[in-house]
Amino acid sequence: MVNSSSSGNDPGANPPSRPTIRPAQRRDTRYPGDSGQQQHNPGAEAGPATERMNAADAGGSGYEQPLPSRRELRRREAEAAAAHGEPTAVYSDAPPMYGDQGEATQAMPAQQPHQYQQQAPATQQMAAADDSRLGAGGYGNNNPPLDDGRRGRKRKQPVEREPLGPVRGTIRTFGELCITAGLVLILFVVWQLWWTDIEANRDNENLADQLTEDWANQDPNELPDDPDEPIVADPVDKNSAFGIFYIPRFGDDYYRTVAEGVDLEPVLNRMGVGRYPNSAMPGEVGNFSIAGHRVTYGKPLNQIAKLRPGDEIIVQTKNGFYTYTFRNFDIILPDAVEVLSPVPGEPDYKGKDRILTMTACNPMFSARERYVAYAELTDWTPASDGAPDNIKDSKAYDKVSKNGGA
Amino acid sequence: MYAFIWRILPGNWFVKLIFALILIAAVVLLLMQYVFPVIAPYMPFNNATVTDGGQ
Repeated sequence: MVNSSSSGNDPGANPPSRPTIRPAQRRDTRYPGDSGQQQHNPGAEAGPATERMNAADAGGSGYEQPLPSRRELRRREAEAAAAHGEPTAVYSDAPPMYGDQGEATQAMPAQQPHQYQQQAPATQQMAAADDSRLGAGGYGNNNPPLDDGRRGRKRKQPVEREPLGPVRGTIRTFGELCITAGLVLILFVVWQLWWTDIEANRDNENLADQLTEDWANQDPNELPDDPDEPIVADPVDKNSAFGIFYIPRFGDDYYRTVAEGVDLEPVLNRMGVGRYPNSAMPGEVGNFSIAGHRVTYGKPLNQIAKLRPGDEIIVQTKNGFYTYTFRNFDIILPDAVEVLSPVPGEPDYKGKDRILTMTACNPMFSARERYVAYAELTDWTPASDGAPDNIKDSKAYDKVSKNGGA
Repeated sequence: MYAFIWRILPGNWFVKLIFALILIAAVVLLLMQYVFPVIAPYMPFNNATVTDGGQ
């Protein structure tokens, strides 16, 4: 009833400032001057019957066709005109009853404040009627103005979230977990390829410093009678460092500590390269075998494939410097332990050479094969004679020797 | 999940942001310090030794 009666007041409520003309208003806009006319016959046609018809017109048709066509509107006008026998009847289906209007504005005060800026109370009243009319015409109830109001308010008030349903909530959480898993994987790759290098290099430098410091505080072993005979390094406990590798081919500043054992933790991951247990010590007849990462964890043997025959590998221990010369490489399967025997590849022979064997993974980032490099001891310098020429001026030796002595 | 975390964080958005960054940093630290070192040995590119078992 509120709807219908208020919808009847439309004709007066056509604010010229309205930017767009909605289809539901068209009926009114076609008769811009009729509001005055209406006010002249307030009670004439606006009987209960008209109102009922009006209700059916506005509310009922509103449900089925939200936007009545112009033709439809004309048809209704014609009907109304035929029923009342005079053209004014067309307009009388919108009786300008001020009492009703007041009722309308009272009925929906909550919907009004956010609608349009109104200058005068009179226009406001009319606008109120207009709004409710729009609601009736467009959607058949009062919700649209409410919606409008909410949209306007949304920006100011904190967002009221509708709780997600169980299905949407589960899907969203699942998606978030997937994204999180992807990020964690990326983080793992970053950690593995970048951070482990940083950590291992830092640990390695500290370890080398510590080692040279220890050496400086120890007496070197007695020199053997034959000066050409290298001193065999003393075995050390598992997981403790006993030497430093210099490989000029890997860079002028390359050095890595070598420790006892080939466990990933802590030796290979943090202490440079590791010596296979039960293999020979530096300078000893037999096979001095080491393993090292080719990628990640400081990648001590990253460039193992760049070694060329004749390249020197210098191992510094407390006793001096052992210079091994690279001879050849091989690519083997991971279970080919015979490369560690005193005569590499021939476990049955005893051997009389001082061999250095280095193993690393091959190809890079794979555990399919192993890259193995063989070298032979060609020179040896006691610690008391200082570093051999091949590393004396290198950055690596500078760095190692500057704080420990040796 | 993240919306929920954001909602239960105290303070205005700036404080929330600080808290969120602290949380992220804590998670990253936890992963890098304790979780990744445990799973890294199972990665296929960390084997450098020759052994009887082939690993």
